[in-house]
Parts: sequence; C-alpha cells; structure tokens
Amino acid sequence: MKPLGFNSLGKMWAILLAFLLSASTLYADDLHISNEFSLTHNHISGPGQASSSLTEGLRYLNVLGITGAGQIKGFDYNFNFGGKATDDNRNDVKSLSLTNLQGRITDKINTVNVGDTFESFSQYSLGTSLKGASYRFYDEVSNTPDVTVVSGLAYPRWDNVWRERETRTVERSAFGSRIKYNFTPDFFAGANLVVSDDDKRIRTTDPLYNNMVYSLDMEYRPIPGLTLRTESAFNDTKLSEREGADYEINHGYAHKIEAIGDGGPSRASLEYERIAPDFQTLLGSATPDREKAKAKWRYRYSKTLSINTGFLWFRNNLEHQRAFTTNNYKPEAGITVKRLFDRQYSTTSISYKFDRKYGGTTSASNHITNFGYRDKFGIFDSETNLGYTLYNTKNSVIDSKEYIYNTTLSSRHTLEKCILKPSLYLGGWTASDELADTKDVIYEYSLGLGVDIPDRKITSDVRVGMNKFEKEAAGTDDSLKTFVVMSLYYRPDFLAKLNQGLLFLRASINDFNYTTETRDFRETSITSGINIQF
Amino acid sequence: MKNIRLSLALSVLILMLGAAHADAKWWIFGQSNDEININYLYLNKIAYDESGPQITVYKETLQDGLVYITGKASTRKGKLGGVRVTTNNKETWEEAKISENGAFEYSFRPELNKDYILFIEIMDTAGKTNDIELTRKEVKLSEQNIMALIRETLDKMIEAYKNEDPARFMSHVSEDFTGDEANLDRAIRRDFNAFDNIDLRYTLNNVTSGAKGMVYVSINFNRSVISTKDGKPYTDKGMTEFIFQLGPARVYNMKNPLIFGLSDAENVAVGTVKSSSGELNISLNETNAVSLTEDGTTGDSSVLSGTAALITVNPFTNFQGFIFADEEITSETDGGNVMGDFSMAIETPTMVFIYVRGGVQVKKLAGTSINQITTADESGYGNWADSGQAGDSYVFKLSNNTYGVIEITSITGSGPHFGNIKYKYQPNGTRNF
Repeated sequence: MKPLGFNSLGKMWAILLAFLLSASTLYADDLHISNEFSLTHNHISGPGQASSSLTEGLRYLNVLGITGAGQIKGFDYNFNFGGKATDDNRNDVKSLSLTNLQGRITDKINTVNVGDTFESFSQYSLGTSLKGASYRFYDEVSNTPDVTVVSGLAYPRWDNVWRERETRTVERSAFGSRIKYNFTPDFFAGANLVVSDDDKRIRTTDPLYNNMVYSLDMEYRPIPGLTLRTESAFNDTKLSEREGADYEINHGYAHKIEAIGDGGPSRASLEYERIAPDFQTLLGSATPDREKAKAKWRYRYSKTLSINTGFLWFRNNLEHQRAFTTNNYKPEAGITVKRLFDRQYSTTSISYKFDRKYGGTTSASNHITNFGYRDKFGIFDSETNLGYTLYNTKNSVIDSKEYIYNTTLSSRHTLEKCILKPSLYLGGWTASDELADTKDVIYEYSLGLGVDIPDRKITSDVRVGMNKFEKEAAGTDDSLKTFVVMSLYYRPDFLAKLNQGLLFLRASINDFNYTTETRDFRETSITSGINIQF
Repeated sequence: MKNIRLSLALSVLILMLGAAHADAKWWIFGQSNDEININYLYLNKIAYDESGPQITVYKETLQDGLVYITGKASTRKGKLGGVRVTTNNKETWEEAKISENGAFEYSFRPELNKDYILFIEIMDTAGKTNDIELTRKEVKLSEQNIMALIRETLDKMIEAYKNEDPARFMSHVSEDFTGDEANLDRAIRRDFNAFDNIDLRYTLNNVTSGAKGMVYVSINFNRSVISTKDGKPYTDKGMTEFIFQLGPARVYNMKNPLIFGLSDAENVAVGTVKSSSGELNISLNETNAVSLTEDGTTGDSSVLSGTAALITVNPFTNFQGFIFADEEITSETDGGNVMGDFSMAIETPTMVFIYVRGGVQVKKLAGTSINQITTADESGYGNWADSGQAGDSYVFKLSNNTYGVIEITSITGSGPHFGNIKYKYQPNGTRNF
C-alpha cells in the first residue's frame, strides 16, 4: 500500500481544521462573513492584443472571508477562514483556493494557534508566516518568561501544501523557539532559535538550504524618550546549489544597534548594522554582505514649519571577497511650511535627495529635487508638483535630466441632492538623454467628474483623458493612450439589513496606439459585483 | 574604511555614555527642562508618537475589545502624583492605574461610529504637569477586518504608484522598512522614470496577522507597463509577499519579484518568493532597459552579457580569444600564451579547445545551457578543461576573483571555423548572474 505523503496528510489536516472551524461558527459569539462576487467582461482587439494584461471573455472572481470569536470555559478563541474562486488565470492559476485557515485559543497565559501562524520573533530570526502551529506561554501578571515555540511550512499560500502541479514549490519546513524576559519595565532580552530545512526540488537548479539562525535581541530605555535596541545573530547554513551538488557549509553573523530619541518637537534615530557575506536568514530579513549606517532627524520647529533630514550609507565586500567595494551614500533634507504668506490652506514642501554610488566600474551621482504646493483658490483646491532630477554616471551608462510637472485642480459643489466633484489633471515629463542627444516627452491630461447622491447612498466617478509619449531615438516607439474609466458604488436599502451591502459597477476603455502599428490594441472591461458583510 | 567604523563605534559609545547621564537628550541638543518626563508611551503597543495625530484601531485586533494606553513617566524632582486620561476632548477625566516606578496603564472600550479625542495628563506631587497638548490624539474604531484594511492600503499604494506620486506612495511605508526607506524612495522614482502607463492588479492569496502588530500578505499580481527606454509594452504576472506593520498599515518588508521599486531590487527586496511555474517577471537594469527574468531578480544591473563569434583560421597559430570586462575579441597565436581571458581554438566542430590566461581558472559544464547557470560554482576549477562542442558551457574564475560564463551555441564554417558563443560576466565579484 502506498504510504500517505505530505500532500495527503496536509489535505486531511486542513480538512479537519476547516471542519472544526466550521463547527465553531455555530457557537461563535461574534461571527462575521464577508463575500465579494464580481463578473468581468473583457474585450481586447487589435494586432497587439497580446500586450494586454486582461483576459478575454466573461470571468468571475469570488472572495469569501469568515471570522469569528467566542469564549468556551474561560478560553477566548477566534478563527479565520477564507477562500477564492475564479476562472481567470491572471487572477490565480487555481480556480478554487483556500486563502486563510487559522484558529487561535487562549486563556491569557497559554495561547495555541493553528493554521496560518505568524510569530514575529525578531528581524534576523523569524518574520514570516508559516502553515503550522505555535504555542505561547506568558503570564503578564507574574512577569514569567515569555516562551513561544512554532513549527510549520514556509509557504506563501495553502495550495503549495497540496503540491499540485501549478503551485508546488520547494518544501521549506521550519521550527522556531523564542524566550523573552522583561528584566525591568525598561529592559527586555529575547533569545531566538530558528531552524529550516528545504526538500523536494521542483527543478534541478533549485538551491536547497538547511539553515539554523540563533539570535539575541534586546531593548533598553535608559532615560525618558530614549530607546536602545540591538540584535546579534549567527547562522549555520548548508547549501546544495543544484541537484547533485554537495552541500557547502557557511557561517555568518549579523549585528544591529539602534538608538531612537523621541521627545518634544524632535525625533531622531541612529542605526548601525553589519551583516557578513555568508549570513543567511531564510525566514527573517537581512541583506548579506552589508555594513550600514543610518541617521534620521525630524524636527517640528513650529506648528507651521517642520524639517526632515536623513542619511544612509552602506557598502558591500565586507570580507574582501569581491573584486571591489561598492559604496552608497543617500543624504536628504526636506522642509514643509504651512500657511505660507498667511494663506490659510497653503502647504509648501521642498526636498533635495542625493544618491551616490561608486565602486569598480560604477560611479553614479543622482540629484533629486522636488517642490510641492497645495492651496485653495476660491472654489478650487489645487496641488502642484515640480521635480528636477539629474542622473549622471561617469562610465556613460546614463547621463540625463528629468523634469516632472503636474497640477490638479478640483472643486466641490452641492446641487440639490447631488454633490458634484469636477477635477482636472495636467501633467508632463521630459527626459533629456545627453549621451544619445535625444529628448523624450510625456503629456498627460484628464478630466473627471464625481457625482455623489448621499440620500441614495450612491457614489460615482467618471474620468476621460489621454497620455502621449513621444520619443526621439531611432528604432523606438511613440505611443498614445486614450482612456475612459468610470465607477459606481450603490448601497441599496434592500441590503441594509446586512451590516454592509454594496453593489458596484466599474468600466474602462483603454486604446493604445504605437508607431509600430502591429502593437496597437484596445481593451474594454466591465465589472459588476456585489459585496456583502454581516 | 577603518576610520568610518571607528567613528561609528565612537558614536555608539558616546550615545551610551550620554544615556548614562540622565536627561542628556542629544536629540533635542542637550538638557531637557521638562519637569515631567515620559519614558515611553504606547497605544495598543504602538509607539504613541509614531501613530500620528489620528489612529484607527481595528475591532479584530483589539485585545478584549479594549484600547490600552501604557507608559512610564518620571519627574526631575519629587514623585509622580497621578496620571489622568480624557477620551472626550477634556470634558471628563479618568485616573489611570499607576505603579511605584512610574509605569501607568489606562484602558477603555471604544464604540463604533464614535470619535475619541485623547489627552494624557501626568502630574507630580507639586502639581506640575506634562505638556498635555502634545498628547492629543484622535482615536476611531473600525469594524473593517484586517484583510479589508490590507486591500485598502495596497489599493492606495498602487494608485499612488500608477499616478507616479512618490510622496503619497511613501506615506504607506514604515520608517523601519527592511530595505530602507531611502532606497525605496529613490527606486520608485527610477521606476517612474523607466515606465509609462503603469497598470497593476492583484488578488490576495493569504493575509495572516501576527505578533507585534505585523501582518503577512501574499498576493498574485498582474502588471503592464510601457518602457520609456524603447517605447514598447511589457506585461507579466506572478506572486509576491509583503509584511505590513499595523497602526495605519505600512509596508515593512517586500520580496522579489517586486511590484514596487524594481529598479533597485538588489537593495529594496529582502528575500525571494520562488515561482513554482518558472514565471518570468519584469526587471530593470542600470540603463532602465526592461528584461523579463526569473523572479525579477536575475536582472543584476552589473552583469554584462551578449553573443560573439570567435574565428579560428588555424587552431595552432591563428585563432581568437575574449576579454569579459571589455567585451573585446583578441587575436591569438599561441595556446600557451593567451591574450584574452580565454581563447578558443577549433580543430573540428566536436573538438573545441579552450585555453586560459595565467591566473584564470576554468570549469567545463558539458551539455549545460548558459541560462541554467545562475550561480557560478565556488570550487572545481583548473588551469585547463576538456575540449568541448556546441551545447557545452565553460565557467571562468578570473584572476581578480570575478566570474564569467560562455556557452558554445554553434560551430559554423569549414575553414575558417566560427565559434558562436553566448557570454555573461559578473564584474562585482559575486558568483551570481
């Protein structure tokens, strides 16, 4: 007899869990169900229709979510179940899939979670969701050690668990434990251990890891307003790069210290991080081979003036294993002024950002400047943005100037029971490529009208416009997109008995024309649907 | 570099020493004159200041349906007298529970469709109080579930990205973003420079809320753009992951394939969601040229790649070689004294000899396509390799510890012979292509 694989066991386990959750809905004190069903009809025409990201024809999408909570004999519990159904391959390769499956029960000291399990230990050790289970013990009143253990599979979706052809991926099983203790109200330390093991290659070139990360994280508040945080982590990693390749063994480290000063009008933070080239965390977050320093300062000088500054530096090649070191410097400064020249509704912002990268054959210096102004002129609200960016590289990769300019004018009028919200957008972008001696220009404009009828619980919006892209370089395409988009949302009375009920209609026409006419296409899309929540 | 590290270490040391001297507040340039100091203040475990002037709390995430305010305060002189909280704009005040060490806690049960305006007053025994106005915060309760909140936030981010509005987009990014806010900010601006007519749609695969106010999100996305480099349309689809931090929901972590900031994927993304179907995704190189690569990750901007034809007139005295860094073909006359990084001498279509320059090492991967080689092996190189033929690849470890790969795609001609190759070269010293 063929033994049960994880595929079968996983399905059985999920079905059992789903059954238990379904049964618990009968007893839940607080049950919420939401469902959104929509039908979309797309029509794509023209010789370039393969460039459309829509699927031709009539397609449906249904998203269901059930959440509940209750109490049983002194235990609080909650659960969460969700599913998705569609026949549009661009929405999902699976026509029917489980999106959420989670149950949690606690007596405020012991907590058990099964299904979707997201225990966030620390940055370097564990910060992703597992399909599995966790147990936590913590008595806040007695200040006991806070202990958590977790085990499961690191898959982004439930369909990965069934390992069907369309969704199977390398199996990564994981186990983790954390013990945290609050030594004083101002100081805690946590020790973390996370082990992961990869199995079942899909392709012969898939790398398989067997990884262990152990880390210590601490937080200390020595004086009012100051928080110091630190984490140090180490790893033992075995890596088989492809099928048949022997396992390589690597060890690395990651250290981070952070100070945050917060009080009165000022908030500042300093951070230093050093991560070895061979540090690998598969379930946490870290970029290997990086030394980084970061500083930020936000200062509210007055109610109308605030200043933001920041600085980021990082480099690689920590163990001289590369041919050269690449350094990055990213300083920035910005100022925001409200009520400039005593204009009650005005907000002005100016910012400058510098982006410097050099090392080996790379040497780039980019200067980014932005100016924004928001104000109200009579019946019009306006927002204007101007930007200038200089991209410059010494080895002739990019040498260009970019100008951005856009403005939005909008207004709001009440006409009996209707609220009318007309708006106009005008925008442009110019990029001068000094190397190719060419200039590219984009013009955009659109006109919109929002109509709300509060008594009828209707909101709607329609917008028409165009986007024209002109390129000078030979062998490239100009393009012109003209579009109409509209949306209508209606909360009818017959759905009012539900907690929320919404009918919606969305439609759009996009017409694309290129210099190369074989790329031309037009897409028309109409979506109607109903969203209910109770 | 040592000076930089020394400076950083000294900065941290000064910080620590500064911390040891109570009230030395470097972030407000020295001494604090406040009589009452707030050591820390949280609303539902979110730093009070970080959540902004208004905060929406979600029924689904409330512990016991309550909003908790926890903090700790101290005084320059004397003792704390008490802590009071108002939730109705100072109309009525309630005492918070306070312990000997200055820690305090207050909770209230919020109701739907009601606005709460909070102030916190901390008083010492002499009657002096903190600056109450600085603690003003509006709190609203939302019945919206976490999945709806994430959808709303992703919709806003996509809208800002499609409208090429960097400030609005970055307002949904956490200050603790693991790929660094400054990297993402510059990367989306480069994206806006590289793309026109961005269109993005998605469906949620999984949303899991977890400890410390974090939410894990997995999505399927579907994207189309026009490249400003060549004016052509590109489309792709795939699966990716986010971690959001709650308060307002803000992005804390993103993985490859990226839907935002892909012009600096190397620094913005932390981790990769492996596609089960080998889906190709849009990636950008240093010149803003679009390519479709696996997981959107292999478009390493520093990798040089292309094709070349190396001619052999005489396999002993007149053939050609290649220098990876310069993408330059060299003339060769002696297999023992190679001018390029390697040279190729074709005796017959099935006997192609590869010679290397002194200091260069080579490894043959018979019957392996160059596309399959995404990482060069760390070991197994020698000063020579067996002869090869079309379909074989060779990996080179150069004297400056950089790596190059070639695949012999075909041998044409009968005299002279043309050795057609595909090559790629990673100049940054890593083994990743």
